[in-house]
Amino acid sequence: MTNKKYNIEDLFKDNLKDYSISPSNSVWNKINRKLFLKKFLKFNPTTFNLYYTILIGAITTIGILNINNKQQTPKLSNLQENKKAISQKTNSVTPIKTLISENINTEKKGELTEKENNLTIEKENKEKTTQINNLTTETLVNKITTKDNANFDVEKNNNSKLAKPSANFSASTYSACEPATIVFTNASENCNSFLWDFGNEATSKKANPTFVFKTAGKYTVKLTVYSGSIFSTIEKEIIILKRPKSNFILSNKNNLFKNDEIKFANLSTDFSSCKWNFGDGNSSNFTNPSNVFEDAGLYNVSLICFSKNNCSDTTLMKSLKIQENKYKILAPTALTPDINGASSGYLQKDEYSNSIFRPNFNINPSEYYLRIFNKFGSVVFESRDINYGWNGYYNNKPAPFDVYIWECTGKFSDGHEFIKTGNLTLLYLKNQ
Amino acid sequence: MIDLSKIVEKCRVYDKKAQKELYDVYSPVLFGICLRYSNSKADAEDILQEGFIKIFTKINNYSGKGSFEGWMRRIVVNTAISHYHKNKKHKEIYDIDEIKETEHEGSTFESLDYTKEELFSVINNLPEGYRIIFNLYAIEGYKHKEIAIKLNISENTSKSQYSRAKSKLKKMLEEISKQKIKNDK
Repeated sequence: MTNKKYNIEDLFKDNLKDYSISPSNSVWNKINRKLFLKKFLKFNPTTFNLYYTILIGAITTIGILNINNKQQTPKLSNLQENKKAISQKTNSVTPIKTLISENINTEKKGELTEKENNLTIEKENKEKTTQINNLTTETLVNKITTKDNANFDVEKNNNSKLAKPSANFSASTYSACEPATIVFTNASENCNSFLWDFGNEATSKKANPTFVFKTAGKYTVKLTVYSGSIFSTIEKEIIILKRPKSNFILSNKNNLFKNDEIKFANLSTDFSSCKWNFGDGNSSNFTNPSNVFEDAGLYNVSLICFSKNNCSDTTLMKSLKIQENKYKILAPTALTPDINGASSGYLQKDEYSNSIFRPNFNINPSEYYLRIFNKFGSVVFESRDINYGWNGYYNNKPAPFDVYIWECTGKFSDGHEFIKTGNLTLLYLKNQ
Repeated sequence: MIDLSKIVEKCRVYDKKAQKELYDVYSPVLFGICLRYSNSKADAEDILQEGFIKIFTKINNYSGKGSFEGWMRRIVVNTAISHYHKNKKHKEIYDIDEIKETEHEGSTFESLDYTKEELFSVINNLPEGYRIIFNLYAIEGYKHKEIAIKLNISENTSKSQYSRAKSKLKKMLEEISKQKIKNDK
């Protein structure tokens, strides 16, 4: 761990000014409720139309309904009159019944009077009454059966006129990506009822059903059409293709800054190709791309994944926040080593020297690693201390006049990583 | 790139979808502010809720000049302050005489790295009056004069409370550092 000087204000300001953390989900609901109440209670000319017209509308409809009820009562009395008329008609039928019953009654009375004398007569009478009863029931039954026969005849006639039913249908598509909503159009002939079987225990009795196939697979859709008891079936195959599942995350977990390379990690499954849209006009077809946002702001990043069958799935990352880069790294491009003797190489913050090289930061990083290479690629200097820079010496001798390359890597306290490179020319002044 | 000005325009006519979008984008940052001014999550959520209602209902007061985020930040800070005023009577009150001593120790100090969570816990553990003044001055960048008006105190009280807050913070941070070194060993 590195010790460093901190100004207490800066410490808090840098770390907490833009600290972001999501509040719990209930907050939005509460806001929504309160806003609604406020809006509702406020007599606002713009919102007036909406709420109060609804209220007025509701009152008027209730009023209209009440009036309608009153108007409907006379109609009801009409109906009752009709009913009475009907009952009168049925009453006219009853005399026939009473006639029959009277007949029976008189015979029964006869029965009673001649009870003691003639058992045989009684028997005869009984037979007679049963006969009468039978007669009446028979006639009734006859009437019903003839009616039934008539109906049956009509049906028979219809059947003979109708041809055999033939089932047929078409689907809006026969191959689609899951979840697929498919509309079936009936093209059957000579039928009056339908039974659809969608091949996964789901059925429908509609003429033209719409069905949602949720998961991928091969489905056999069977349509059975009926005309009475005669039926006809047809089967057609529907193929539901697997849809890829797109998903991605950011490889950089910390704050994102403009002009930094921001890497995206693809977590999609079942896909063969993908298309990225970074929201800044850039797009990519790589699986795990990276993008450099040139302006600070909020971006919507989308990833569309395609399967071999051309099924696609889209994931949208909303409001990716790219911040202004608050870190500045500046480094001199030339160095004049002190030929009279190597300097210590130590510099305080905000201290500069022409004979010591080190990159300068506006905010000190928490991790720091500087390496300087010569043209042969060997390391002539390295340091992990920000206050310790290169004095231009290599193997205890002033390094030769040349161009050197430096690379500085590290991390800031908020986790933001950096890599900065540059070149450095060693200069020796004539009058030194 | 999300067009903030479009969202703001839609929010002006109370478009539900735009309001939700604005909330989604800015609630984390604004909640961060609320957390700084309160000592519990529940209080912070109350402030955030009130703040957003003010933002949505007063949006037509926003002139369109200057940063919208800044405008929202100010509203949330003001909400936090009025929240503080509401609850003040139950909390500690400082007398000016009591706080005459001001500390002249340097404001820089050697320290280990602190995580944001540690900094938060330190701020949340400050007495409420100190916390508000420290937030307003050090983080939001208000002047002592403005703070005095906002909190209805004298400019000197603001200054002395601020320096007390700072020394308290420093002590607490040093305590954390010591604890950390102990743990490392």
